Amino acid sequence: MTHSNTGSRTLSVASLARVEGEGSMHVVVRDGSVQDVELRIFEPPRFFEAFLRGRSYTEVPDITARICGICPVAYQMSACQAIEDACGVTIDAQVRALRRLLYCGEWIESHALHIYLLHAPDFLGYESSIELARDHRDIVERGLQLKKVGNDILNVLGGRAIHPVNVRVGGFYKAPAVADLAPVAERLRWARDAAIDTARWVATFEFPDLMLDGDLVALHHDREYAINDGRIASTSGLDITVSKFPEHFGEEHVAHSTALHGRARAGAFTVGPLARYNLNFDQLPTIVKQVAADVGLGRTCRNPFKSIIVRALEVVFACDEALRIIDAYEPPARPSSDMPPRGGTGHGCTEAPRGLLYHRYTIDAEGIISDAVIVPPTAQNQPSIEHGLHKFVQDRLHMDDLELTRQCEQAIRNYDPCISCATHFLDLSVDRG
Amino acid sequence: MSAPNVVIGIGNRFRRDDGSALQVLNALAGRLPESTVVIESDGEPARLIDSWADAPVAVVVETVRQNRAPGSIAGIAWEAHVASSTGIEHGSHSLGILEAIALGRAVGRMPLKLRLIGIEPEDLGWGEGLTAAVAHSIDAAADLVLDYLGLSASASAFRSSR
Repeated sequence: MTHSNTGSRTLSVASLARVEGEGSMHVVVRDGSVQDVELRIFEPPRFFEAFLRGRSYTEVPDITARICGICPVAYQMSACQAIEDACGVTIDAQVRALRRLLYCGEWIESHALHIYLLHAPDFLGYESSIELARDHRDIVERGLQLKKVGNDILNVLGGRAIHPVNVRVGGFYKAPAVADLAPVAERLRWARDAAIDTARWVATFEFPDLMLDGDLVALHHDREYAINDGRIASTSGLDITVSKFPEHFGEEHVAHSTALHGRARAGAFTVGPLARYNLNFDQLPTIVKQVAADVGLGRTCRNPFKSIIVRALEVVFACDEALRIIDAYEPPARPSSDMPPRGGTGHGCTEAPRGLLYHRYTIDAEGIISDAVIVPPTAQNQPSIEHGLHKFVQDRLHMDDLELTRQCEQAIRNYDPCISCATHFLDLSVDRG
Repeated sequence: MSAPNVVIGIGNRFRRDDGSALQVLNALAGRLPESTVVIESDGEPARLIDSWADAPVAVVVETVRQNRAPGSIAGIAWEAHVASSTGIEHGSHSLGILEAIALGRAVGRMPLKLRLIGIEPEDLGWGEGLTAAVAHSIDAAADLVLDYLGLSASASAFRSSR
Protein backbone atom coordinates (compact mmCIF):
# COMPACT_ATOMS: atom_id res chain seq x y z
CA MET A 1 0.00 0.00 0.00
CA THR A 2 1.34 3.41 -0.84
CA HIS A 3 0.31 6.97 -0.14
CA SER A 4 1.81 10.10 -1.55
CA ASN A 5 1.51 13.81 -1.54
CA THR A 6 3.79 16.61 -2.60
CA GLY A 7 7.25 16.09 -1.16
CA SER A 8 6.04 13.60 1.42
CA ARG A 9 5.55 9.94 0.76
CA THR A 10 5.15 6.80 2.75
CA LEU A 11 5.90 3.50 1.10
CA SER A 12 4.67 0.56 3.03
CA VAL A 13 4.68 -3.08 2.07
CA ALA A 14 2.81 -5.05 4.68
CA SER A 15 3.99 -8.43 3.54
CA LEU A 16 7.13 -8.79 1.49
CA ALA A 17 6.62 -11.20 -1.35
CA ARG A 18 9.28 -13.70 -2.31
CA VAL A 19 11.13 -13.36 0.96
CA GLU A 20 11.58 -16.51 3.02
CA GLY A 21 9.41 -15.83 6.01
CA GLU A 22 7.56 -12.85 7.30
CA GLY A 23 8.63 -9.27 6.88
CA SER A 24 7.49 -5.79 5.96
CA MET A 25 9.06 -2.58 4.81
CA HIS A 26 8.27 1.03 5.77
CA VAL A 27 9.88 4.04 4.10
CA VAL A 28 9.08 7.64 5.09
CA VAL A 29 9.96 10.57 2.81
CA ARG A 30 9.60 14.16 4.01
CA ASP A 31 10.31 17.30 2.00
CA GLY A 32 12.08 15.36 -0.70
CA SER A 33 14.42 13.51 1.64
CA VAL A 34 14.27 9.97 2.93
CA GLN A 35 13.61 10.34 6.63
CA ASP A 36 13.26 6.79 7.77
CA VAL A 37 13.64 3.23 6.46
CA GLU A 38 12.50 0.33 8.57
CA LEU A 39 12.64 -3.30 7.64
CA ARG A 40 10.32 -5.01 10.04
CA ILE A 41 11.10 -8.63 10.56
CA PHE A 42 8.80 -10.75 12.62
CA GLU A 43 11.48 -13.00 14.01
CA PRO A 44 10.55 -15.13 16.97
CA PRO A 45 11.63 -13.59 20.27
CA ARG A 46 14.35 -16.07 20.89
CA PHE A 47 11.99 -18.99 21.12
CA PHE A 48 14.58 -21.58 20.23
CA GLU A 49 17.25 -20.24 22.57
CA ALA A 50 14.78 -20.51 25.43
CA PHE A 51 13.58 -23.89 24.21
CA LEU A 52 17.13 -25.27 24.24
CA ARG A 53 17.84 -24.31 27.85
CA GLY A 54 17.49 -27.34 30.08
CA ARG A 55 17.77 -29.77 27.16
CA SER A 56 20.56 -32.30 26.66
CA TYR A 57 23.49 -31.31 24.45
CA THR A 58 22.73 -34.33 22.25
CA GLU A 59 19.33 -32.88 21.29
CA VAL A 60 20.75 -29.72 19.75
CA PRO A 61 21.08 -30.88 16.10
CA ASP A 62 17.49 -32.15 15.95
CA ILE A 63 16.02 -29.04 17.57
CA THR A 64 18.06 -26.45 15.69
CA ALA A 65 17.35 -28.18 12.36
CA ARG A 66 13.76 -27.04 12.80
CA ILE A 67 14.65 -23.36 12.99
CA CYS A 68 14.66 -23.08 9.22
CA GLY A 69 13.27 -25.34 6.51
CA ILE A 70 15.55 -23.76 3.91
CA CYS A 71 18.85 -24.03 5.78
CA PRO A 72 18.54 -26.74 8.46
CA VAL A 73 22.08 -27.98 7.79
CA ALA A 74 23.57 -24.58 8.60
CA TYR A 75 21.84 -24.57 11.99
CA GLN A 76 22.91 -28.14 12.65
CA MET A 77 26.53 -27.55 11.64
CA SER A 78 27.04 -24.37 13.70
CA ALA A 79 25.33 -26.07 16.63
CA CYS A 80 27.43 -29.24 16.42
CA GLN A 81 30.62 -27.25 16.10
CA ALA A 82 29.75 -25.22 19.22
CA ILE A 83 28.88 -28.29 21.29
CA GLU A 84 32.05 -30.08 20.14
CA ASP A 85 34.03 -26.98 21.06
CA ALA A 86 32.49 -27.02 24.53
CA CYS A 87 33.30 -30.72 24.94
CA GLY A 88 36.82 -30.38 23.52
CA VAL A 89 36.22 -32.92 20.76
CA THR A 90 37.89 -32.92 17.34
CA ILE A 91 36.03 -34.74 14.58
CA ASP A 92 37.45 -37.24 12.07
CA ALA A 93 38.70 -35.76 8.76
CA GLN A 94 36.27 -37.84 6.67
CA VAL A 95 33.39 -36.84 8.93
CA ARG A 96 34.40 -33.22 8.39
CA ALA A 97 34.40 -33.85 4.62
CA LEU A 98 30.93 -35.42 4.82
CA ARG A 99 29.66 -32.39 6.71
CA ARG A 100 31.10 -30.18 4.01
CA LEU A 101 29.38 -32.32 1.37
CA LEU A 102 26.08 -32.02 3.22
CA TYR A 103 26.56 -28.27 3.38
CA CYS A 104 27.24 -28.18 -0.39
CA GLY A 105 23.84 -29.79 -0.87
CA GLU A 106 22.19 -27.06 1.16
CA TRP A 107 24.00 -24.28 -0.73
CA ILE A 108 22.85 -25.79 -4.05
CA GLU A 109 19.25 -26.11 -2.84
CA SER A 110 19.00 -22.72 -1.22
CA HIS A 111 20.78 -20.74 -3.93
CA ALA A 112 18.87 -22.46 -6.75
CA LEU A 113 15.60 -21.67 -4.97
CA HIS A 114 16.55 -18.03 -4.56
CA ILE A 115 17.95 -17.54 -8.05
CA TYR A 116 15.15 -19.20 -10.01
CA LEU A 117 12.01 -18.85 -7.91
CA LEU A 118 12.60 -15.68 -5.90
CA HIS A 119 15.06 -13.32 -7.56
CA ALA A 120 15.22 -13.89 -11.34
CA PRO A 121 11.58 -12.85 -11.86
CA ASP A 122 12.55 -9.37 -10.60
CA PHE A 123 15.17 -8.90 -13.26
CA LEU A 124 12.98 -10.23 -16.06
CA GLY A 125 9.87 -8.22 -15.17
CA TYR A 126 7.71 -11.08 -13.98
CA GLU A 127 5.43 -10.97 -10.97
CA SER A 128 6.53 -14.41 -9.89
CA SER A 129 8.31 -17.58 -10.91
CA ILE A 130 4.93 -18.95 -12.02
CA GLU A 131 4.64 -16.35 -14.79
CA LEU A 132 8.31 -16.92 -15.59
CA ALA A 133 7.65 -20.65 -15.92
CA ARG A 134 4.72 -20.07 -18.25
CA ASP A 135 6.99 -18.22 -20.69
CA HIS A 136 10.28 -20.01 -20.02
CA ARG A 137 9.39 -23.46 -18.80
CA ASP A 138 12.77 -24.94 -19.75
CA ILE A 139 14.65 -22.39 -17.62
CA VAL A 140 12.52 -22.91 -14.53
CA GLU A 141 12.73 -26.69 -14.99
CA ARG A 142 16.51 -26.37 -15.02
CA GLY A 143 16.33 -24.48 -11.73
CA LEU A 144 14.06 -27.10 -10.18
CA GLN A 145 16.32 -29.93 -11.33
CA LEU A 146 19.38 -28.12 -10.02
CA LYS A 147 17.72 -27.61 -6.68
CA LYS A 148 16.78 -31.29 -6.62
CA VAL A 149 20.43 -32.32 -6.86
CA GLY A 150 21.05 -30.43 -3.62
CA ASN A 151 18.03 -32.20 -2.23
CA ASP A 152 19.52 -35.54 -3.26
CA ILE A 153 22.69 -34.86 -1.25
CA LEU A 154 20.60 -34.02 1.81
CA ASN A 155 18.57 -37.19 1.34
CA VAL A 156 21.61 -39.46 1.08
CA LEU A 157 23.63 -37.89 3.89
CA GLY A 158 20.97 -36.35 6.08
CA GLY A 159 18.43 -39.15 5.89
CA ARG A 160 15.87 -36.76 4.47
CA ALA A 161 15.82 -33.34 2.83
CA ILE A 162 13.83 -31.48 5.46
CA HIS A 163 15.17 -31.43 9.01
CA PRO A 164 17.95 -34.01 8.39
CA VAL A 165 17.89 -36.76 11.00
CA ASN A 166 21.28 -38.41 10.41
CA VAL A 167 23.32 -35.59 11.97
CA ARG A 168 24.54 -35.90 15.57
CA VAL A 169 27.07 -34.10 17.72
CA GLY A 170 30.40 -35.69 16.91
CA GLY A 171 29.43 -36.72 13.38
CA PHE A 172 26.68 -38.82 11.84
CA TYR A 173 24.58 -41.75 13.02
CA LYS A 174 25.54 -43.58 9.86
CA ALA A 175 28.18 -42.84 7.22
CA PRO A 176 27.32 -43.57 3.57
CA ALA A 177 29.09 -46.29 1.61
CA VAL A 178 31.09 -45.19 -1.44
CA ALA A 179 28.43 -46.81 -3.64
CA ASP A 180 25.72 -44.67 -2.01
CA LEU A 181 27.39 -41.55 -3.33
CA ALA A 182 27.98 -42.71 -6.90
CA PRO A 183 24.49 -41.85 -8.22
CA VAL A 184 24.75 -38.44 -6.56
CA ALA A 185 28.06 -37.80 -8.32
CA GLU A 186 26.44 -38.62 -11.65
CA ARG A 187 23.74 -36.01 -11.08
CA LEU A 188 26.31 -33.51 -9.78
CA ARG A 189 28.20 -33.63 -13.07
CA TRP A 190 25.02 -32.51 -14.84
CA ALA A 191 24.38 -29.95 -12.09
CA ARG A 192 27.81 -28.38 -12.43
CA ASP A 193 27.16 -27.74 -16.12
CA ALA A 194 23.66 -26.45 -15.34
CA ALA A 195 25.12 -24.13 -12.71
CA ILE A 196 27.58 -22.74 -15.27
CA ASP A 197 24.66 -22.14 -17.64
CA THR A 198 22.85 -20.45 -14.76
CA ALA A 199 25.75 -18.08 -14.13
CA ARG A 200 25.90 -17.19 -17.81
CA TRP A 201 22.13 -16.63 -17.86
CA VAL A 202 21.89 -14.36 -14.81
CA ALA A 203 24.94 -12.36 -15.93
CA THR A 204 22.89 -11.15 -18.89
CA PHE A 205 20.40 -9.36 -16.60
CA GLU A 206 20.47 -5.58 -16.25
CA PHE A 207 21.83 -4.47 -12.89
CA PRO A 208 21.09 -1.10 -11.31
CA ASP A 209 24.16 0.75 -10.09
CA LEU A 210 24.54 0.39 -6.37
CA MET A 211 27.59 0.07 -4.15
CA LEU A 212 27.46 -1.74 -0.84
CA ASP A 213 29.02 0.41 1.90
CA GLY A 214 30.67 -0.85 5.03
CA ASP A 215 32.50 -3.95 6.07
CA LEU A 216 31.96 -7.38 4.54
CA VAL A 217 32.34 -10.23 7.01
CA ALA A 218 32.75 -13.95 6.34
CA LEU A 219 34.62 -17.03 7.44
CA HIS A 220 38.03 -17.39 5.84
CA HIS A 221 40.09 -20.53 5.46
CA ASP A 222 43.56 -20.46 3.91
CA ARG A 223 43.19 -23.70 1.91
CA GLU A 224 39.55 -23.79 0.88
CA TYR A 225 36.50 -21.64 0.19
CA ALA A 226 35.22 -21.46 3.75
CA ILE A 227 31.94 -23.18 4.53
CA ASN A 228 32.08 -25.16 7.73
CA ASP A 229 35.04 -23.68 9.58
CA GLY A 230 37.72 -21.03 9.52
CA ARG A 231 38.51 -17.68 11.07
CA ILE A 232 36.16 -14.70 10.95
CA ALA A 233 37.58 -12.13 8.54
CA SER A 234 36.44 -8.82 7.12
CA THR A 235 37.34 -6.49 4.29
CA SER A 236 38.56 -3.96 6.85
CA GLY A 237 41.14 -6.42 8.14
CA LEU A 238 39.40 -8.21 10.98
CA ASP A 239 40.90 -11.64 11.57
CA ILE A 240 39.66 -13.42 14.69
CA THR A 241 38.86 -16.87 15.93
CA VAL A 242 35.20 -17.86 16.14
CA SER A 243 35.35 -17.67 19.95
CA LYS A 244 36.03 -13.93 19.68
CA PHE A 245 32.73 -13.30 17.88
CA PRO A 246 30.93 -11.93 20.96
CA GLU A 247 33.70 -9.39 21.53
CA HIS A 248 33.28 -7.91 18.07
CA PHE A 249 29.66 -8.49 17.15
CA GLY A 250 26.47 -8.10 19.10
CA GLU A 251 22.75 -7.78 18.69
CA GLU A 252 20.40 -5.10 19.92
CA HIS A 253 16.67 -4.56 20.16
CA VAL A 254 15.14 -1.91 17.95
CA ALA A 255 11.65 -0.57 18.41
CA HIS A 256 10.30 -1.43 14.96
CA SER A 257 11.21 -5.12 14.77
CA THR A 258 10.90 -8.19 16.91
CA ALA A 259 14.17 -9.39 15.38
CA LEU A 260 17.43 -8.42 17.04
CA HIS A 261 19.68 -6.30 14.83
CA GLY A 262 23.31 -7.21 14.33
CA ARG A 263 25.86 -4.69 15.40
CA ALA A 264 29.63 -4.79 14.94
CA ARG A 265 32.01 -2.84 17.12
CA ALA A 266 33.47 -1.42 13.90
CA GLY A 267 30.08 -0.33 12.45
CA ALA A 268 27.61 -1.59 9.83
CA PHE A 269 28.53 -4.80 8.10
CA THR A 270 27.16 -7.33 5.64
CA VAL A 271 27.44 -11.11 5.59
CA GLY A 272 26.53 -13.51 2.80
CA PRO A 273 27.64 -14.50 -0.70
CA LEU A 274 29.10 -11.08 -1.60
CA ALA A 275 31.19 -11.07 1.59
CA ARG A 276 32.41 -14.61 0.94
CA TYR A 277 33.26 -13.85 -2.67
CA ASN A 278 35.20 -10.69 -1.85
CA LEU A 279 37.11 -12.26 1.01
CA ASN A 280 37.70 -15.72 -0.40
CA PHE A 281 38.04 -15.36 -4.17
CA ASP A 282 41.57 -16.78 -4.08
CA GLN A 283 40.28 -20.01 -2.53
CA LEU A 284 37.76 -20.68 -5.32
CA PRO A 285 38.68 -23.53 -7.68
CA THR A 286 39.90 -22.65 -11.17
CA ILE A 287 36.64 -23.65 -12.82
CA VAL A 288 34.71 -21.04 -10.80
CA LYS A 289 37.29 -18.32 -11.40
CA GLN A 290 37.08 -19.09 -15.11
CA VAL A 291 33.28 -18.81 -15.17
CA ALA A 292 33.51 -15.55 -13.21
CA ALA A 293 35.90 -14.19 -15.80
CA ASP A 294 33.68 -15.41 -18.65
CA VAL A 295 30.67 -13.54 -17.24
CA GLY A 296 32.67 -10.41 -16.55
CA LEU A 297 32.81 -10.52 -12.77
CA GLY A 298 36.12 -9.45 -11.26
CA ARG A 299 37.67 -10.70 -8.05
CA THR A 300 35.64 -8.17 -6.06
CA CYS A 301 31.98 -7.19 -6.37
CA ARG A 302 30.07 -4.77 -4.14
CA ASN A 303 26.89 -4.36 -6.16
CA PRO A 304 24.22 -6.20 -4.15
CA PHE A 305 22.10 -6.68 -7.29
CA LYS A 306 24.94 -8.78 -8.69
CA SER A 307 24.69 -11.10 -5.72
CA ILE A 308 22.55 -13.25 -8.01
CA ILE A 309 25.65 -13.86 -10.15
CA VAL A 310 27.72 -14.64 -7.06
CA ARG A 311 25.10 -17.11 -5.88
CA ALA A 312 25.22 -18.81 -9.26
CA LEU A 313 29.02 -19.01 -9.02
CA GLU A 314 28.67 -20.48 -5.55
CA VAL A 315 26.39 -23.15 -6.99
CA VAL A 316 29.12 -23.99 -9.53
CA PHE A 317 31.55 -24.13 -6.62
CA ALA A 318 29.26 -26.29 -4.45
CA CYS A 319 28.73 -28.80 -7.26
CA ASP A 320 32.45 -28.95 -8.02
CA GLU A 321 33.39 -29.22 -4.35
CA ALA A 322 30.82 -31.94 -3.76
CA LEU A 323 32.30 -33.93 -6.64
CA ARG A 324 35.81 -33.45 -5.26
CA ILE A 325 34.71 -34.70 -1.83
CA ILE A 326 32.91 -37.73 -3.29
CA ASP A 327 35.93 -38.61 -5.44
CA ALA A 328 38.22 -38.57 -2.38
CA TYR A 329 35.75 -40.19 0.00
CA GLU A 330 36.65 -43.17 2.13
CA PRO A 331 34.15 -44.15 4.80
CA PRO A 332 35.41 -43.16 8.26
CA ALA A 333 36.31 -45.90 10.71
CA ARG A 334 33.48 -44.63 12.90
CA PRO A 335 30.71 -42.26 11.78
CA SER A 336 30.99 -40.15 14.92
CA SER A 337 33.45 -39.31 17.68
CA ASP A 338 32.74 -40.10 21.31
CA MET A 339 31.18 -37.07 22.92
CA PRO A 340 31.27 -37.30 26.70
CA PRO A 341 29.83 -34.09 28.15
CA ARG A 342 32.16 -31.57 29.69
CA GLY A 343 31.06 -28.42 31.45
CA GLY A 344 31.93 -25.24 29.59
CA THR A 345 31.07 -22.86 26.80
CA GLY A 346 31.56 -23.57 23.09
CA HIS A 347 31.35 -21.44 19.96
CA GLY A 348 30.40 -22.47 16.44
CA CYS A 349 30.35 -20.52 13.22
CA THR A 350 29.62 -21.70 9.68
CA GLU A 351 28.56 -20.13 6.41
CA ALA A 352 24.83 -20.56 5.94
CA PRO A 353 23.69 -19.82 2.37
CA ARG A 354 22.74 -16.33 3.58
CA GLY A 355 25.96 -15.77 5.53
CA LEU A 356 27.68 -16.17 8.84
CA LEU A 357 25.68 -18.15 11.40
CA TYR A 358 26.99 -18.07 14.97
CA HIS A 359 25.97 -20.36 17.86
CA ARG A 360 27.16 -20.41 21.45
CA TYR A 361 26.17 -22.93 24.13
CA THR A 362 27.04 -23.30 27.77
CA ILE A 363 26.57 -26.80 29.15
CA ASP A 364 27.14 -28.33 32.56
CA ALA A 365 29.12 -31.48 33.40
CA GLU A 366 26.04 -33.63 32.64
CA GLY A 367 25.58 -32.00 29.24
CA ILE A 368 22.52 -29.94 30.15
CA ILE A 369 22.35 -26.63 28.30
CA SER A 370 22.16 -23.59 30.57
CA ASP A 371 22.58 -20.91 27.91
CA ALA A 372 22.15 -20.71 24.14
CA VAL A 373 22.83 -17.85 21.74
CA ILE A 374 22.01 -18.04 18.03
CA VAL A 375 22.87 -15.14 15.71
CA PRO A 376 21.44 -15.74 12.22
CA PRO A 377 22.74 -13.96 9.11
CA THR A 378 19.55 -12.03 8.36
CA ALA A 379 19.65 -10.39 11.80
CA GLN A 380 23.23 -9.34 11.14
CA ASN A 381 22.33 -7.91 7.73
CA GLN A 382 19.24 -6.02 8.81
CA PRO A 383 20.92 -2.67 9.61
CA SER A 384 22.91 -2.92 6.40
CA ILE A 385 19.75 -3.59 4.36
CA GLU A 386 18.07 -0.53 5.90
CA HIS A 387 21.14 1.62 5.31
CA GLY A 388 21.35 0.51 1.69
CA LEU A 389 17.63 1.17 1.14
CA HIS A 390 17.99 4.69 2.50
CA LYS A 391 20.39 5.67 -0.25
CA PHE A 392 18.63 3.54 -2.85
CA VAL A 393 15.29 5.29 -2.28
CA GLN A 394 16.85 8.76 -2.12
CA ASP A 395 18.32 8.26 -5.61
CA ARG A 396 14.97 7.08 -6.99
CA LEU A 397 12.47 9.57 -5.58
CA HIS A 398 11.52 10.58 -9.11
CA MET A 399 9.83 7.20 -9.58
CA ASP A 400 6.15 6.73 -8.84
CA ASP A 401 5.25 4.84 -5.69
CA LEU A 402 4.43 1.61 -7.46
CA GLU A 403 7.75 1.35 -9.29
CA LEU A 404 9.73 2.57 -6.30
CA THR A 405 8.11 0.01 -4.05
CA ARG A 406 8.80 -2.74 -6.58
CA GLN A 407 12.45 -1.77 -6.81
CA CYS A 408 12.78 -1.61 -3.03
CA GLU A 409 11.42 -5.12 -2.74
CA GLN A 410 13.92 -6.27 -5.34
CA ALA A 411 16.72 -4.55 -3.43
CA ILE A 412 15.70 -6.36 -0.24
CA ARG A 413 15.66 -9.67 -2.07
CA ASN A 414 19.31 -9.07 -2.99
CA TYR A 415 20.07 -10.17 0.56
CA ASP A 416 17.84 -13.26 0.36
CA PRO A 417 16.49 -12.47 3.81
CA CYS A 418 15.28 -15.49 5.68
CA ILE A 419 13.10 -15.03 8.67
CA SER A 420 13.30 -18.21 10.61
CA CYS A 421 10.42 -20.23 11.81
CA ALA A 422 7.63 -18.69 9.85
CA THR A 423 4.39 -20.49 10.17
CA HIS A 424 3.28 -22.26 7.06
CA PHE A 425 -0.43 -21.74 7.18
CA LEU A 426 -2.49 -20.53 4.29
CA ASP A 427 -4.81 -17.53 4.56
CA LEU A 428 -7.73 -18.22 2.32
CA SER A 429 -10.61 -15.88 1.56
CA VAL A 430 -13.54 -17.45 -0.14
CA ASP A 431 -16.12 -15.54 -2.17
CA ARG A 432 -19.28 -17.40 -1.37
CA GLY A 433 -21.23 -15.03 -3.67
CA MET B 1 5.43 -49.93 -12.02
CA SER B 2 3.23 -46.92 -11.36
CA ALA B 3 4.27 -44.16 -8.94
CA PRO B 4 2.91 -44.49 -5.40
CA ASN B 5 0.25 -42.36 -3.79
CA VAL B 6 1.58 -39.58 -1.58
CA VAL B 7 0.35 -38.03 1.66
CA ILE B 8 1.98 -34.71 2.58
CA GLY B 9 1.60 -32.84 5.87
CA ILE B 10 2.68 -29.20 5.84
CA GLY B 11 3.40 -27.42 9.10
CA ASN B 12 5.68 -26.31 11.89
CA ARG B 13 5.32 -28.17 15.16
CA PHE B 14 6.80 -25.26 17.10
CA ARG B 15 3.93 -22.95 16.10
CA ARG B 16 1.09 -24.62 18.01
CA ASP B 17 -1.80 -25.42 15.65
CA ASP B 18 0.46 -25.00 12.60
CA GLY B 19 1.63 -28.49 13.55
CA SER B 20 -1.81 -30.04 13.04
CA ALA B 21 -1.00 -31.62 9.67
CA LEU B 22 2.07 -33.30 11.16
CA GLN B 23 -0.16 -34.81 13.84
CA VAL B 24 -2.43 -36.13 11.10
CA LEU B 25 0.57 -37.95 9.64
CA ASN B 26 1.21 -39.48 13.06
CA ALA B 27 -2.42 -40.55 13.27
CA LEU B 28 -2.07 -42.31 9.92
CA ALA B 29 0.85 -44.44 11.08
CA GLY B 30 0.06 -48.11 10.37
CA ARG B 31 -3.16 -47.25 8.53
CA LEU B 32 -1.75 -46.75 5.05
CA PRO B 33 -0.55 -49.31 2.50
CA GLU B 34 3.23 -49.72 2.67
CA SER B 35 3.53 -48.33 -0.84
CA THR B 36 2.08 -44.96 0.16
CA VAL B 37 4.74 -42.32 0.62
CA VAL B 38 4.27 -40.06 3.67
CA ILE B 39 6.13 -36.75 3.69
CA GLU B 40 6.53 -34.04 6.30
CA SER B 41 6.90 -30.69 4.57
CA ASP B 42 7.52 -27.06 5.38
CA GLY B 43 5.58 -26.09 2.27
CA GLU B 44 8.59 -25.17 0.15
CA PRO B 45 7.22 -25.39 -3.41
CA ALA B 46 10.09 -27.10 -5.24
CA ARG B 47 10.19 -29.94 -2.74
CA LEU B 48 6.39 -30.22 -2.84
CA ILE B 49 6.50 -30.54 -6.63
CA ASP B 50 9.19 -33.22 -6.37
CA SER B 51 7.10 -35.01 -3.78
CA TRP B 52 3.91 -35.27 -5.75
CA ALA B 53 4.97 -35.31 -9.40
CA ASP B 54 3.34 -38.22 -11.26
CA ALA B 55 1.64 -39.64 -8.16
CA PRO B 56 -1.79 -41.15 -8.94
CA VAL B 57 -3.20 -39.41 -5.87
CA ALA B 58 -1.53 -36.82 -3.65
CA VAL B 59 -3.29 -35.70 -0.50
CA VAL B 60 -1.93 -32.56 1.14
CA VAL B 61 -2.96 -31.60 4.67
CA GLU B 62 -2.30 -28.05 5.80
CA THR B 63 -3.41 -25.44 8.30
CA VAL B 64 -5.84 -23.19 6.46
CA ARG B 65 -7.49 -20.10 7.91
CA GLN B 66 -10.99 -19.59 6.57
CA ASN B 67 -12.55 -17.96 9.64
CA ARG B 68 -14.35 -21.10 10.61
CA ALA B 69 -14.54 -22.69 14.03
CA PRO B 70 -11.12 -23.91 15.24
CA GLY B 71 -10.62 -27.54 14.32
CA SER B 72 -12.98 -27.37 11.34
CA ILE B 73 -11.85 -29.66 8.54
CA ALA B 74 -12.53 -28.90 4.91
CA GLY B 75 -11.59 -30.23 1.55
CA ILE B 76 -10.25 -27.19 -0.29
CA ALA B 77 -11.29 -26.55 -3.87
CA TRP B 78 -7.86 -25.24 -4.73
CA GLU B 79 -8.56 -25.08 -8.48
CA ALA B 80 -10.56 -21.87 -8.12
CA HIS B 81 -7.87 -20.14 -6.07
CA VAL B 82 -5.01 -21.09 -8.35
CA ALA B 83 -6.89 -20.36 -11.56
CA SER B 84 -8.04 -16.93 -10.42
CA SER B 85 -4.77 -15.55 -9.13
CA THR B 86 -1.33 -14.67 -10.40
CA GLY B 87 0.21 -13.13 -7.30
CA ILE B 88 -1.23 -15.39 -4.66
CA GLU B 89 -1.26 -13.90 -1.19
CA HIS B 90 -0.15 -15.96 1.75
CA GLY B 91 -0.44 -15.20 5.42
CA SER B 92 3.08 -16.01 6.45
CA HIS B 93 5.36 -17.82 4.07
CA SER B 94 5.43 -16.07 0.74
CA LEU B 95 5.81 -19.29 -1.20
CA GLY B 96 3.52 -22.10 -0.29
CA ILE B 97 0.98 -24.63 -1.43
CA LEU B 98 -0.90 -22.48 -3.94
CA GLU B 99 2.34 -21.32 -5.57
CA ALA B 100 3.51 -24.92 -5.63
CA ILE B 101 0.34 -25.96 -7.42
CA ALA B 102 0.55 -23.09 -9.91
CA LEU B 103 4.24 -23.75 -10.53
CA GLY B 104 3.70 -27.50 -10.79
CA ARG B 105 1.04 -26.91 -13.42
CA ALA B 106 3.26 -24.47 -15.32
CA VAL B 107 6.07 -27.01 -15.59
CA GLY B 108 3.79 -30.03 -15.99
CA ARG B 109 4.77 -31.75 -12.77
CA MET B 110 1.53 -32.53 -11.00
CA PRO B 111 -0.09 -35.64 -9.56
CA LEU B 112 -2.96 -37.11 -11.52
CA LYS B 113 -5.26 -36.14 -8.67
CA LEU B 114 -4.47 -33.60 -5.94
CA ARG B 115 -6.64 -33.24 -2.85
CA LEU B 116 -6.06 -30.52 -0.26
CA ILE B 117 -7.40 -30.78 3.28
CA GLY B 118 -7.45 -27.68 5.45
CA ILE B 119 -7.59 -27.61 9.24
CA GLU B 120 -8.71 -24.35 10.83
CA PRO B 121 -6.26 -23.23 13.54
CA GLU B 122 -6.96 -21.43 16.78
CA ASP B 123 -3.47 -20.53 17.99
CA LEU B 124 -0.44 -20.00 15.72
CA GLY B 125 1.79 -18.59 18.44
CA TRP B 126 5.10 -20.00 19.60
CA GLY B 127 5.08 -23.30 21.44
CA GLU B 128 4.47 -26.99 21.08
CA GLY B 129 1.14 -28.79 21.25
CA LEU B 130 -2.22 -28.25 19.62
CA THR B 131 -5.18 -26.46 21.13
CA ALA B 132 -7.94 -28.79 22.33
CA ALA B 133 -10.28 -28.01 19.43
CA VAL B 134 -7.64 -28.73 16.81
CA ALA B 135 -6.31 -31.81 18.61
CA HIS B 136 -9.87 -33.13 18.66
CA SER B 137 -10.05 -32.89 14.85
CA ILE B 138 -6.94 -34.90 14.03
CA ASP B 139 -8.57 -38.33 13.79
CA ALA B 140 -11.33 -37.01 11.56
CA ALA B 141 -8.75 -35.37 9.29
CA ALA B 142 -6.84 -38.66 9.11
CA ASP B 143 -10.10 -40.44 8.15
CA LEU B 144 -10.63 -37.90 5.39
CA VAL B 145 -7.14 -38.61 4.04
CA LEU B 146 -8.00 -42.31 3.92
CA ASP B 147 -11.27 -41.49 2.18
CA TYR B 148 -9.46 -39.45 -0.46
CA LEU B 149 -7.09 -42.36 -1.04
CA GLY B 150 -10.04 -44.69 -1.54
CA LEU B 151 -9.44 -46.44 1.75
CA SER B 152 -12.31 -46.45 4.19
CA ALA B 153 -11.28 -45.76 7.78
CA SER B 154 -12.70 -49.08 8.98
CA ALA B 155 -10.96 -51.06 6.23
CA SER B 156 -7.62 -49.48 6.95
CA ALA B 157 -8.01 -50.07 10.68
CA PHE B 158 -8.65 -53.73 9.88
CA ARG B 159 -5.54 -53.82 7.68
CA SER B 160 -3.35 -52.34 10.40
CA SER B 161 -4.63 -54.80 13.02
CA ARG B 162 -3.65 -57.87 11.02
